[in-house]
Amino acid sequence: MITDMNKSIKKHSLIFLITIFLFTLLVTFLSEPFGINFISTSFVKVLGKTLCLCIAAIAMDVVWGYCGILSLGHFAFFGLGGYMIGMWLMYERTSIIVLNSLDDSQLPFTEIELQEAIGNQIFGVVGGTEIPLIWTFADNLYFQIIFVILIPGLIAFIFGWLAFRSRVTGVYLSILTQAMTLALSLYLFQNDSGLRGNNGLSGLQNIPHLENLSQSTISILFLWLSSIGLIFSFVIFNYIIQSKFGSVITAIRDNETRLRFFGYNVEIYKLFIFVITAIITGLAGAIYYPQAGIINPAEIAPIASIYLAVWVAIGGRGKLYGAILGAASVSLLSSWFTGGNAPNIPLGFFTIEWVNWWTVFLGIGFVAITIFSKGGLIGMLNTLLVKIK
Amino acid sequence: MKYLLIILFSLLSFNSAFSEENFDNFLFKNSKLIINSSSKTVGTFLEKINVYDQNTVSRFLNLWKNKKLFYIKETKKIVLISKFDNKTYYAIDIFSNAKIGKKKKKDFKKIKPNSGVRAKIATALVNFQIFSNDKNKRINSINALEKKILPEHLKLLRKAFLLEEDDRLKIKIKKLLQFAILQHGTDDKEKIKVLNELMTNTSIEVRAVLSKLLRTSEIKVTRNIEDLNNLNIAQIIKPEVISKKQFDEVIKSFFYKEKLKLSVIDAYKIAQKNGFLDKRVSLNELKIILENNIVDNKILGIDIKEFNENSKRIEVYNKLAKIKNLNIYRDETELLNDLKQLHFYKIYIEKNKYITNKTKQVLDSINFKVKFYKYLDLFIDGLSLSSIYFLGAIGLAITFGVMRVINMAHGEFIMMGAYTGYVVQSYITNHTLSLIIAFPLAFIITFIAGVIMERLVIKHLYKNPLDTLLATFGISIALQQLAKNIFGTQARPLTSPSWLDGSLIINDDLSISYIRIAIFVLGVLFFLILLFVMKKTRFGLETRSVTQNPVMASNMGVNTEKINMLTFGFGSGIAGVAGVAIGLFSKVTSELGSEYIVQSFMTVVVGGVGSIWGTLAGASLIGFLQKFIEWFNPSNTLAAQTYMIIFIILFIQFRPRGLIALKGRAANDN
Amino acid sequence: MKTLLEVDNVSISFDGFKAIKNLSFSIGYNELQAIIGPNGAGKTTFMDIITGQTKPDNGHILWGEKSIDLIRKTESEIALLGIGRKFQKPTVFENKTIIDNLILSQKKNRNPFKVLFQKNTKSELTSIEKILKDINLYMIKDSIAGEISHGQKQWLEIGMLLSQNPKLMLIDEPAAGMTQTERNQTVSILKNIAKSSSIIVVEHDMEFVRNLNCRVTVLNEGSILSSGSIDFITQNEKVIEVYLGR
Repeated sequence: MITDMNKSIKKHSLIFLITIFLFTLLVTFLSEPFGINFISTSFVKVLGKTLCLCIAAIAMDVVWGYCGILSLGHFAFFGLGGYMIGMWLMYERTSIIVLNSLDDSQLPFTEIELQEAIGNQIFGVVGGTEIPLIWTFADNLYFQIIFVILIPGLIAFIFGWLAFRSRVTGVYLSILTQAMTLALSLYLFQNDSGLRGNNGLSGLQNIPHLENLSQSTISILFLWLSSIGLIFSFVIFNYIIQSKFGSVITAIRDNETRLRFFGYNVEIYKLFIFVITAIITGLAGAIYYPQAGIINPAEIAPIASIYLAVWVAIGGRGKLYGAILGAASVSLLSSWFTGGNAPNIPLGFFTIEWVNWWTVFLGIGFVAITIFSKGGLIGMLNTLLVKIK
Repeated sequence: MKYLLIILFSLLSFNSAFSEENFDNFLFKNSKLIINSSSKTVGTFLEKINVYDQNTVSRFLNLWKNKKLFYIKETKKIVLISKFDNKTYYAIDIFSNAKIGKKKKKDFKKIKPNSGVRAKIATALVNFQIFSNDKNKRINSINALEKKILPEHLKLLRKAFLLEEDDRLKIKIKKLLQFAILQHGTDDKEKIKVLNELMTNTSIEVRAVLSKLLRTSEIKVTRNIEDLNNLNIAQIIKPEVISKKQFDEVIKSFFYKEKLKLSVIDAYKIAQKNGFLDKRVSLNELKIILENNIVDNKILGIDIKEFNENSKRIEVYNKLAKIKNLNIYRDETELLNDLKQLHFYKIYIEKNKYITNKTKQVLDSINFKVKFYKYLDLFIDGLSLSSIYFLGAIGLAITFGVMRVINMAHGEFIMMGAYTGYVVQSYITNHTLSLIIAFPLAFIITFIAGVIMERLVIKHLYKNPLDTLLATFGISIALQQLAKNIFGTQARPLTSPSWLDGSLIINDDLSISYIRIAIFVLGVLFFLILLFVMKKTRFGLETRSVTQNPVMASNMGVNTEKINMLTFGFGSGIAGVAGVAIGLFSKVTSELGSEYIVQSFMTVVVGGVGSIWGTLAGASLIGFLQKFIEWFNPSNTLAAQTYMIIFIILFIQFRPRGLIALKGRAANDN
Repeated sequence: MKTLLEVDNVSISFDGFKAIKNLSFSIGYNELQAIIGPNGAGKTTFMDIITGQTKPDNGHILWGEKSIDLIRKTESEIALLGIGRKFQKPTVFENKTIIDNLILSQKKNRNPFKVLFQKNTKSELTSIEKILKDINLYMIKDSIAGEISHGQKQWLEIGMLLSQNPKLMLIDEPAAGMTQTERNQTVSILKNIAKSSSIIVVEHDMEFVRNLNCRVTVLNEGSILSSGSIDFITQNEKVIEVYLGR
């Protein structure tokens, strides 16, 4: 397996790259600004967001499906990435609006006055005017992009270092990661967290300096960005899991104690995987939230992270394609069913309204998949293909 | 009106005709004084009426004070009136309550005592009632006094204290007398004596009276430091260059110790108001003046684009000031220099330094006691929160301990229990009875649900705890949505029986609500029952053997499958019972369970798996810790939870297996 | 003979039960030794202590010429110093192929950043092929390890040890569950290995130990009962009493 890994890495990555590229191209030609206007702007955004969720899902698959760490906190990194880029988006846009508000009869702002005016605009809702310290670099896109990588990476590093070092494993670790994301979301819910409490950051769909572009054009730009992000993370993760490193992390999943006696410092490998997946998840969040337009602490509540695991499990863990299939199908179906678009099913004595019953069926279906098909949808597909052959 | 008349009538029958007659005459003679009363003239009048029957006088004064009295314009006779028709009214005698004539509406005029007069009447009323023979009246008058003690009451209270014979009332009068002395007394020695007496009393009203003694003036300013020598200084304040944020965070240790900070800007304003310094131009005013002088986008020939720094603005403003003869701008350091020659201070309204010092001392000693009660209150808070966590977590601890299975649907079993309570209550309206039925019913329902879940789902996944975690999560979201579909999204009430309302009041600082006591008792009960089941029954023995070594237990003939099933049902049943209890004090919604689930996990993880004692330890640690952190930062329970979770993550570093851990090889495979 | 590993006066107790009492033991370079003892004698605990899985309450474990104390080291550090271990129940990575198992254990840089870019050189592949032949698994090298027989798993684990190329191997009951032919093959494999590295074999089966023809230490209740050649110890009365004469 490892012996012919180079060929297999290239083959998988290439097929994937072409598929996603063709998909994005197709959507572009069906969109309003660059094509035949078959797909609405809001649906383009839904597709773009779904691609970002797929990125988070393959990261989750690597950390859980391959390395065996069931993290119930990875969506926290997704949210953090969103917050980091959201800070720039909001600050820069507010700063432009504030500067434009001056007329000829007024003196230009001093640095302090400008800060105060921006602070008032952004933090007025939480009863503050001062710009918190964590916003120091919010006027600089490059710094905030670095933070998109650095902050999730750093938090994952500190948490992972503490947890792995004390050899917390299995369900204990899962509960601890869940506690981590709960702590973070509770912290952000406070008004004096410096990130606008439960209001979160909003208006993120308006990209500063791109005011001349319509939302439909921006949606296509972000669709491409999301595709590139997905391809990029797929290539990285595919390389990792097909390399000897991948062999080591699946060995950790299967029996980490045994692996230690072969001289592998298991903790460092886990930490590496935990941090790299956190970073990629953070990046995905940074592309996702400008399309969603708003981010608030509810986004990173523990349930979001559990859903991430559910997607991966339904799609098929231990296969990157499975994670993508799961994330895309479940998140799209969920928004379709709960959006009230799905036709209700009248049973005579009772009508199944999907808005109310979808979650029930999703839950039951998920239980069934966990019990009967460990490989998820991808696993079922494979068995089916084998039978046909 | 009718009501009043009835009261009047009933009162009348007690009094002798003689005194009425006399008083009636007296009133008639003095009617002008009454009609045109002012706070100056009313005093002498009120002194004169002392000699008449107390009941009669007080009834009259009440009517007067409450603006019920009228007079007939022609005769100046004071009467009550009652409507005949739209234009005509009866005149009614104040005392006999008899109709003494029918006149046109315009012939009557209302007597309207002003507020000053009414206050004097009120005092006089107290005077009459406090010495009344009727004990209830005395109580009423003292209760009225309690609300506000005026200087003139002091004499009254002294007399009342001497005359009062009822012991309980005497104590009450003594308290009021003490307060009156402190607030209005003129004898400083007497005040100090009272202060010494109050040393041991921690009630809120004592504190309020004492803190009144420490009232301070507004900030004053002087150039001459000798001016301060003979004053009872509360605080000398140095102006500081402080940011607004710092200013908001003025440290308040206790209400009277409040250390005031004074910003340079505010100090300057005070100094200016008192005529010590010239008016100062603020940066904002400076900006407005500059903006008013913009000509063709320029000020004094300088492009306004350059004015994006304060230094530039000040520079140009100062030039402009010279031309237009305005005050030159001075910055904060310069202001601070100006202020150095001034002294800002606050004085106590009370002039005697000895008394204010003594008051502080007494308050300190009171506060020390109050602090003790605060800690006690905190402790009780922690205890009840711990009980809640214990109730929420114990079912989980049992299933997790025995089967190494994390049941994410545990919260939903709690929810099911709470809804069971709600449904039972909607059929059985007697709250006590419905609770008695709800507890076992909730146990049965969730027990069955747990067994079904174990048979259908968990049995298949014993080999992989992580899969169980996820599968039970699937059940959790399905159950939650199901509850939403059945009961709707709004909160359902689960009302506790009325004997659980209210609280056990120990003193002003310490009261414990009965529901908290009930939860605590329930927690203890649970603990004892579980301890009994686990240690003394066959089921408990087998469960413990499966906990410690499933393989060995199975070899010894324990039917592990049956034990697993029963344990799961048992743990779920306990969750259901806990749900009824939790529903009593929080709203019953479909999300009820998920609010408790993470805390319950934390409790189990911190406490250590597989022991009831461990859960008890975990719940206590987390409950007390959370209250303790909240105590540090009372305004922010969210932050408290955040810090608590961080603490737990760190705690796991040092005790990965929890507070009370199983040892040996069995503990190693989780 | 120079000492490779010296266990000096080590004790450990679990909840008051003394599993190992003041045990001292040593083994030289390229030496083969066997440890026998009844159930609960502390054999597995002894191995746990050497490999760092369990920390003793007191005592020292000194390693190699520099006399490094192993007590403060983690399992992986000890493994990197050159101690390999085979478990009583064969423990291989069942989801991987045989050859992948061997590549995983191969002696190489364990730094994750290096591992990320590690490729197999020709010579390394040849040495793995050689090991595959030695353990009689060459023909099925691409089979999934979970699907081979119990005896083959034992060999694969020994192969993984060989691939790890340690200075000292701790081998726990290598012959368990093997047929007589397989046992004989195992003896010859072990003897072969002993030419280039030291081995401690823990065994139950007297006949197997006799075939190894090496120094034997008898453990009982956490301490050494007797030590010497197989013939010497089988004449010790105490040994006969606690172990052989059951």
